[in-house]
Amino acid sequence: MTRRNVNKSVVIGTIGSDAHIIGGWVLKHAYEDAGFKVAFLGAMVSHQEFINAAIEVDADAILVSSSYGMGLIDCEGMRDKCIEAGLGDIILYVGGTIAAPLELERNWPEVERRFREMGFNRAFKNTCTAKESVTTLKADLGVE
Amino acid sequence: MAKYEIRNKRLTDEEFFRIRKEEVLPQWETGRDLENMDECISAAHELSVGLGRNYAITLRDANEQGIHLLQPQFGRALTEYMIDGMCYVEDESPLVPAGLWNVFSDSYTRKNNYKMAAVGIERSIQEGTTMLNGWPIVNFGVEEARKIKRAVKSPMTLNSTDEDGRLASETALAAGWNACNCRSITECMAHCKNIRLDEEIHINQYESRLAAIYHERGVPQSPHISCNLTGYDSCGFKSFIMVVQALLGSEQGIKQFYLEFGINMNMVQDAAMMRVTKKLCEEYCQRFGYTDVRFIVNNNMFQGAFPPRLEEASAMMNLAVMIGIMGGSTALVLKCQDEAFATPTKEGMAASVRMARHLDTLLGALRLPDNAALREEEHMLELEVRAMMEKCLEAGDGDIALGICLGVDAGWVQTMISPWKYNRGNVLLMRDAENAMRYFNCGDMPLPNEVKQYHLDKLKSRAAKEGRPLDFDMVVSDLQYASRLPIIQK
Repeated sequence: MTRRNVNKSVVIGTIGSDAHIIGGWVLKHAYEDAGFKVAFLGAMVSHQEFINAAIEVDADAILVSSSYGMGLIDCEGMRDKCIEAGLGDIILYVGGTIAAPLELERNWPEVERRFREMGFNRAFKNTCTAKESVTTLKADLGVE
Repeated sequence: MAKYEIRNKRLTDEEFFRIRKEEVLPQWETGRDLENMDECISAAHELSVGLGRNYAITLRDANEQGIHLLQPQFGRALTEYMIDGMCYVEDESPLVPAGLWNVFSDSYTRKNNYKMAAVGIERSIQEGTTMLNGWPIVNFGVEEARKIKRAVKSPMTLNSTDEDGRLASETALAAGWNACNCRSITECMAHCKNIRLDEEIHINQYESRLAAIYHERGVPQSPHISCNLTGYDSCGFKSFIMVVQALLGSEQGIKQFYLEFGINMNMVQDAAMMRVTKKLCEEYCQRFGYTDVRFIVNNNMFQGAFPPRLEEASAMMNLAVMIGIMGGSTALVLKCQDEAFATPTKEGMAASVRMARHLDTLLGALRLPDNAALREEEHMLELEVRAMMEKCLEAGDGDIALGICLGVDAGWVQTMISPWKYNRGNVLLMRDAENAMRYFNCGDMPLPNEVKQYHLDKLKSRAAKEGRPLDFDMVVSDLQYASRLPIIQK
């Protein structure tokens, strides 16, 4: 299988029933500043909306924001739907306040393990800055 | 003018009970237990007034006596976790007798997605912990809500509205929790994406009327008008939407409002907002003939991002409590040290109650004294809110429900960041040298020139302090002004 061309394009949105838009809003500006094309879907985005937008802009990555603590439930099945849509190799990031119970949030390796098991390439804490997110994605894509 | 049918007009009994039967109770199976409204009201009376634990009466008395009520927030996936957590806080902190509870539902419930809430309940049972970010009140229904009410000593309210909180509020009120929400514009701006404002106002008219019916039939209610929004909103805008919501709720018959201010963390500006809003709520209600309405000032904490470390989070909470007490609040909604990471834990909430009660003891009867800076801030806020109100009332030919819908269309009514697709969002806000919230760009908002100039002049103080011109990066950077941890020099 030939690897698709990287074209510095991302989809950003807040997943599930989550109305918190700030994280995505900041990422949108940071990625645009870094020369990325951004499809910004706002809040309360379903798996299918993320995928449709990713196909439309031929995205390198889908950046999922989740700030209300139910990211573990909302992100289940996302990778499978990407594979079904022919986006098997798309990079999936999730970030924010992604696990509701404090005892789980404090056990970050477990949170990361769960998201990796669901097919997410990386999970970011809410202390991650927008710049760190951009730098990490650039490295994962092998672009400047 | 024909674009919207919505008007600020009281729902008739016929309309109310038709909506109740056809649109509200059938939303989920637990709605069946609420069919007999007489029984609901009688149970609510027994569980609140009867036990001496009515939310509205407690609030009114505290306001008259100058007592500060502390109001922890709590919401877990299962009833047993709720009772365990709330009893823990009441046992381990000085919450009783001057306390209130603010219980929140999970976000699936707030989106009326009861099937997903059921999934979350199942997952929580399987994993032995809470996998939802609140208590799914609709799935559990009125008997479980009454069980919680009986188990705790402090009066309760429910925080559960996004687009449609009607069934959740029906359940809460029938369980003897005594406040729902009167906040259509706030909800659109803070939690909605696609619903039109006129539809949301119509839904909220029902919720307001519901509270009024309970109140008229002997179970006092104190619905919340809030302006928490996204946490990055101007004080003038917050004040304006509260005055609008006061008119919408009063028309439905609400007699006592809980004004819930999400503060911006600048003591002078926040105090000015609380005072001006109460004054203008009273004044506009008088003007439209709602002459016997009581407004009680209360505050929630900063709604933006919290710092991820105990000491910094404590500083935030201490300042918020001080602003509430010094600024004239009666009830203080509390957050806790876990705010940056997760929904509140019982231990965190008990700690917050202890902290806030001690601050209350330390401050005694001290309030922010009258001063020139406060007066100037109040003057500017008043000019701003009056300009917005008059613009919308004029557009609506004297009807605020119609006027605010047209105001959103015109872009007069908008905030900087919102998930709502009808929000124009070309306003830009940043903090001045004293960290008061200012308009960097007021977009299409119809603000008087004097107000615009005042805000720009204040921002110049920051440019001078930082020795660099004002720019968009400052707007973005300010989103984390309170959550960023200080750099430690090594």
